[in-house]
Amino acid sequence: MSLRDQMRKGSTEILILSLLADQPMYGYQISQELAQRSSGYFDVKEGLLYPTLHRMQQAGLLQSQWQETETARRRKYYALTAKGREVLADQASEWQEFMRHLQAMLAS
Amino acid sequence: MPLTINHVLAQIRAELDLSSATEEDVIAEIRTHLEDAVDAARAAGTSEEVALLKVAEKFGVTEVGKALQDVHLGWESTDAIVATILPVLGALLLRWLVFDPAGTALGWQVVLNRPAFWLVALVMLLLPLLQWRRWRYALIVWGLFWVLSIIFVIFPAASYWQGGGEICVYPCS
Repeated sequence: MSLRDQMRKGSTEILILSLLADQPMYGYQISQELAQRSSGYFDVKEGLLYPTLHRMQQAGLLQSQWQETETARRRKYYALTAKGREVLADQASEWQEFMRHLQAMLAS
Repeated sequence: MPLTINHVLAQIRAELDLSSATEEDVIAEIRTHLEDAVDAARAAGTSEEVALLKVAEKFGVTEVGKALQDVHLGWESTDAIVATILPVLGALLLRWLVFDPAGTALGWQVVLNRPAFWLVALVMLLLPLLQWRRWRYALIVWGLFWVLSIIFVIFPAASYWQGGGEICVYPCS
C-alpha cells in the first residue's frame, strides 16, 4: 500500500465526520463530495465508504435515517451524533498537531 | 447476458451471511448508490451497460461485500448472544423451580400449584414475540428448552401414573 493510500485510509473517518458536520448526506453524495472538495485526491473506491459508515454508526458517531425522494428512490441519510461531533473536534485537533509537527520536522 | 444492477448486488450478497433484515438494509442502500452512479454516468453520455461496468469497478464489489460482512458479523454475534441469554435464563429459572434439590422432578405436582412456575412458563411462551435481529438463534434455544422441559415433565408424570399413583423413578419397576 502506497503512502498516499495509507494516509487516505487513516483519514477516511475524519473526512466523513467533517463532511457530515455541515448537513446529513447519503452514501453516494458523500463519495461525490469527497472527490469534488479534494479535487479528486480522496476519490476512493466508493463501496468501501459503506463499511466505514456502518462501523462509525455502530460506534455511535453517526445516526442514519431512510428518506424517500421525489423520484421514489429511498436513500439512507447519515448525520453526526453528539459523540460524533466530539470525536470530530478531537480528531481535527490531533490532525492539526500532527501536521504542525510533521511540517516542522520536514522544514528542519 | 448484459450486466445488471441485480447481478452486481447478487455478487455482494454472496459475500454476506447476516440476518435477513440487515442484508436487506445493506443491499437496499447499495442499490440506491449504484442507481445514482449509473444515472450520473448515463447523463454524462455513457451507455447503460458500460456505465454499470464502470460503476461496479469503481465500487469494488467483492471487497466491499467482505468488508461489510466483517463490520456486521461482530455486531450480529452480540445480538445473537443477547437474544439467546433470555431463553437460557428462563430454562435455568424453571429448572430451579421444577426440580427438587436432588435433581429429579419427582415433586412436579407441587410445582403446578406455584404461581411463580406459571408466571415463568407464560413469559417463556411469549418470548418469541420479542423482536431481535438475530432471533432465529434464540428461537432454536427456545425450542430446545421446551422440548427438554416437556420430556422432563412427561417422563416423571408417566412414571407416576404407571406406578398406580405412586411416585417412582422412570422406568418404574
